[in-house]
Amino acid sequence: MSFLKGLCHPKRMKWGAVALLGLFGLLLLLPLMPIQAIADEAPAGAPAATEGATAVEKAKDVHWKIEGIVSGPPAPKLKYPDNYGTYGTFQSRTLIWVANQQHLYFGSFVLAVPMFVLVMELVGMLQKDKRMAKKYDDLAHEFMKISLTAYSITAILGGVLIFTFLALYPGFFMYLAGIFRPVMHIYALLFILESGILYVYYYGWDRMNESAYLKWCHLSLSVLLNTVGLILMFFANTWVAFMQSPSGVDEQGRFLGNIWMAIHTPLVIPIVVHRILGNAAFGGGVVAAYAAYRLLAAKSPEEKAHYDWMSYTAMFMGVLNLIPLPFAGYWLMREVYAYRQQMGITLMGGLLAWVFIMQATMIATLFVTLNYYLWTAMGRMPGAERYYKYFKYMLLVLIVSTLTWLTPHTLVMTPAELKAMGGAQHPVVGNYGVMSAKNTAINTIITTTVLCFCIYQRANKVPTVKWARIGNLALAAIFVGAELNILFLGIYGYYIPANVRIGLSVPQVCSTLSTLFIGVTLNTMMLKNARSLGEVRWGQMSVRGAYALFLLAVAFTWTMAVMGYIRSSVRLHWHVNEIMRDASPWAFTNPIGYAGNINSMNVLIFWTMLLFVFWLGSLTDKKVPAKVKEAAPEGIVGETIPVASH
Amino acid sequence: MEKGKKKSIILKVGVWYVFILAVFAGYTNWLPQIRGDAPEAAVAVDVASVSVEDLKEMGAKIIFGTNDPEGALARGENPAGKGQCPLCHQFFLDQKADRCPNLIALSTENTADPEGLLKITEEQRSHKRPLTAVYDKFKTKLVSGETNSGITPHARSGGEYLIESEYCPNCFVVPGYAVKGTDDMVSPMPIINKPPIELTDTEIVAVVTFLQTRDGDMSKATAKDSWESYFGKKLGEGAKAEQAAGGAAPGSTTVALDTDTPEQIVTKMGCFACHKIPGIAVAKIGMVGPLLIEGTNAVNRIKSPEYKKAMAEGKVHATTPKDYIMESIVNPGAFIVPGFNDDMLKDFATKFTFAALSKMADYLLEQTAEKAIKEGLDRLPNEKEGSLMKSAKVQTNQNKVHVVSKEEVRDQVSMVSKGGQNHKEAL
Repeated sequence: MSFLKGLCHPKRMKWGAVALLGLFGLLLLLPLMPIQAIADEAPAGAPAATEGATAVEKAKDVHWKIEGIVSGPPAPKLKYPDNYGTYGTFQSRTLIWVANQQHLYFGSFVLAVPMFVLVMELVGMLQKDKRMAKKYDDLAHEFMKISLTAYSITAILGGVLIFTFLALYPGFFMYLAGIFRPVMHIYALLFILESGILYVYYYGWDRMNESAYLKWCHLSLSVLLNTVGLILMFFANTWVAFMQSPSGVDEQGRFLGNIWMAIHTPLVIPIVVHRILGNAAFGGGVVAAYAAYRLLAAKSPEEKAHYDWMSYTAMFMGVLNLIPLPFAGYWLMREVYAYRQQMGITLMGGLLAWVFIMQATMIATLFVTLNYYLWTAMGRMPGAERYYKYFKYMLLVLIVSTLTWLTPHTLVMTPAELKAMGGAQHPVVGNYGVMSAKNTAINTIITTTVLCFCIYQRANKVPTVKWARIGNLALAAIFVGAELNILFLGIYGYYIPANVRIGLSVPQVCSTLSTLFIGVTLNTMMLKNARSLGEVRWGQMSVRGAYALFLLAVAFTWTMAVMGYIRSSVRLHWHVNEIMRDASPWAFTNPIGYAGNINSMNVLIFWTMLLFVFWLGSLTDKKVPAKVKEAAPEGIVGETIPVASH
Repeated sequence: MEKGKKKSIILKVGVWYVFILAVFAGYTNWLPQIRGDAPEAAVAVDVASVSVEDLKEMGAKIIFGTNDPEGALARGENPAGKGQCPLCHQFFLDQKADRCPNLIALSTENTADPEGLLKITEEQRSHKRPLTAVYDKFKTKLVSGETNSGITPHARSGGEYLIESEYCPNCFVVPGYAVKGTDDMVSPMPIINKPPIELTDTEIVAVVTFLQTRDGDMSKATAKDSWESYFGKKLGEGAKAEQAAGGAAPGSTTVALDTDTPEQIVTKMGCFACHKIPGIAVAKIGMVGPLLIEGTNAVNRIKSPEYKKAMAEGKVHATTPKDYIMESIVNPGAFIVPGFNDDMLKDFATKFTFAALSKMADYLLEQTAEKAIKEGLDRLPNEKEGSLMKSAKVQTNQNKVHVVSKEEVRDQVSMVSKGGQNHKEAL
């Protein structure tokens, strides 16, 4: 006891922090114990079985074709209503859909926010200007406060989800639980660990701000928090990936004793990467919307400035993850095609093709809204007037690209219309419904967005580096060259076979990525010690800009819903693809309209609950007005703040 | 004042959110609505008693999901049945699918094919394939059996080659159509008798028959004999053994039999997925088709102007309620109840014995609005006749003097069931 008290002494506090961190580190190893136990059991069990003569049965992994010892029963052949439950006349599938989506929304939010907080806290610690360091630190702290209540709701929704599974899909859930039993325990342990770290991290914030050493320890806690969060998400994703592309079981669905093989399914890695990026983009959108609301409701100019800056920073973090998202999507689709060609075709050219049109609409909405926000945001940057004249051309490019991006391959028409047009494919517009045009369109949209961001970076600045002229020329060459290459490859694609054409997407993406990485880096280098044309007038963001952020946030949320629907629907009438059939009356795939209605309802429920979370957060503000006043940044109105883009 | 401002902002933001969500949902409802049903259960077929023409027709249905694929193509659809073949194979000039070898077979001269290359049918190609050096290469490499199917390439004729390629797509891959990076050794095609396609042996024979007889020459159909010579056993033996063992494989035969009870028929045919039916425990939640209280509905439907119009057009023929029910089952597209879509499966004619169909019709005729109300079942909002519960309540309000008793409800329902016109007036 006295030892613990000693560790709390200010002089020995750092040792206390190290001990605490060490303890958390050891706790992280705990979940690995069951895996080790399984590994130990396997060889021990095998000889025993062999001694028992014919007891051991071996079978081949359904995907990896590696032989393993049969360690579980076959996937049950479910029957309705024996293996399914219902609540009145509600579609059980819709109920589980809503429960799943709500848990996923909150789970994504509470996993994404700590990522931002980690970056914010680190940026703050690296600031030389103490005032700015405090500002970043306060921002990170506020982010964390928002997610704290959401964390409890996530846990509650997780419970609701499990109960819904047990009540409505007991047969399926028991099978999945049978295979992932050891990992599910790890999941639960990690959740407890995550909670512990989160509370120490949040409630120890002020205390650990007292010394530089403790602050670094605090940051380490953030790293731990994120690590545990990512592992949690990874596990949840492995179950989803198993349902879509199972491995670790034989053709009958019998578990082959190696949990790693059930985790390491053919699609798990791209799904995990895609989801991490998606969650981060979504988290950014949610925080940006929160800050936009606070901006509109702010009473004082200081408050307005703070929330304007916060909304911009959150939006920026979200977009950082949005940009690579389509590429991660391409990768996932490529892997889907490699896994099962007909699954890919069902997605892109079959039953779910119209859902992909909707998903394309959402992506276009995100990028166009983002550009609009940046144009509006430049209204508070002196010197940005120089670039206003280019906006209309950028808008034109975005509109043309968006229309191309959304043009369907074939149109559904009445017989009379069909006859008049001579086919389902329009003789002119139909040409823009093919992959060549679509790849060109989305790459052009992203390139335009990157260009818009570069303009935003330099809106109130004039480069002073000696090589400014050459730099500008190089920058122009990068953007023009990239776009020309994208266009050329797009047109070239019309003249070559499909299997060759698909390869053109790689150089097109490379062109876009060069503008992103080389262009933005070059632009940033040119703006070093740049002459300022005036300070950013934080807080003077137009109301329309704030509403654009709301649209961005809703679009992020809706996109997540529609893409989740696509991923889940592609299993068609299978609970576990090709292993366990869905025998319920809801084994059909709903028309897109129904999915759209449920998605909108899910998004509305989520944001209504989030409103409750924000309201709870605002209650804390009211309780400690004096403290907030003390901590509030002083005189930030009209000052240049080195945010991520400057 | 501040509180008022905050409330106003929350309200405005809320309206903005709802507007955006309504636009997104509205857009999805505006797009074409396609429902993807689970594949139909396999039809019980005794191959020995089926003509080649019927097998070919069955094959076409499995491949395209319709017997008129060209018509579907003209309507802008990409017809694909449970076999899903047209997703990757091109069968017609107007169809776009170039991931796997084309299976076009033009029966007449075509300007798009001046050299006549597209006239070579898969049946003609199939005879040459087992004789090629490439096939020998596969034979050598897969001598101990192909990994996924366990089959060693051993086709000796065109028919056997076609059968083999369904059960073991990796036993021979047409050069240029393999998965990239596999040295032309791995096919992207799934094994057709396994999930997710899971065709039965008979269905595969039907598909091969279709491929062999595309040019109209039925004498080329050797699929059944080729199957038996390739596997060295009689077609259907495995399935019989499985049935005898009591194990019903997924996709196995599902036919409503004379001995089945109405509940068994409803369960077998999956009627409960779309319809609510009084007296059937599993059929309490269907929301796609009308509430099946045909003791009340059928007589009104026959008298309805919509049905009379369809009859005048020669689409329907029922004159009695029972005939109407039987017609609705075997020819569901002939008359669509107003407010509904033509969503019902079209193959029940091949899944019912006559006695089972008659039994089911009799059972449905016994189901009335009264029985539905007793079980708490109501019509769907899109049923023109309106809610049963609501009509009972309206009647209650009109007779405010006393609370309506159960017997009175029964009487009202009985009155409603006796005549459509009276029913409408009551509403």
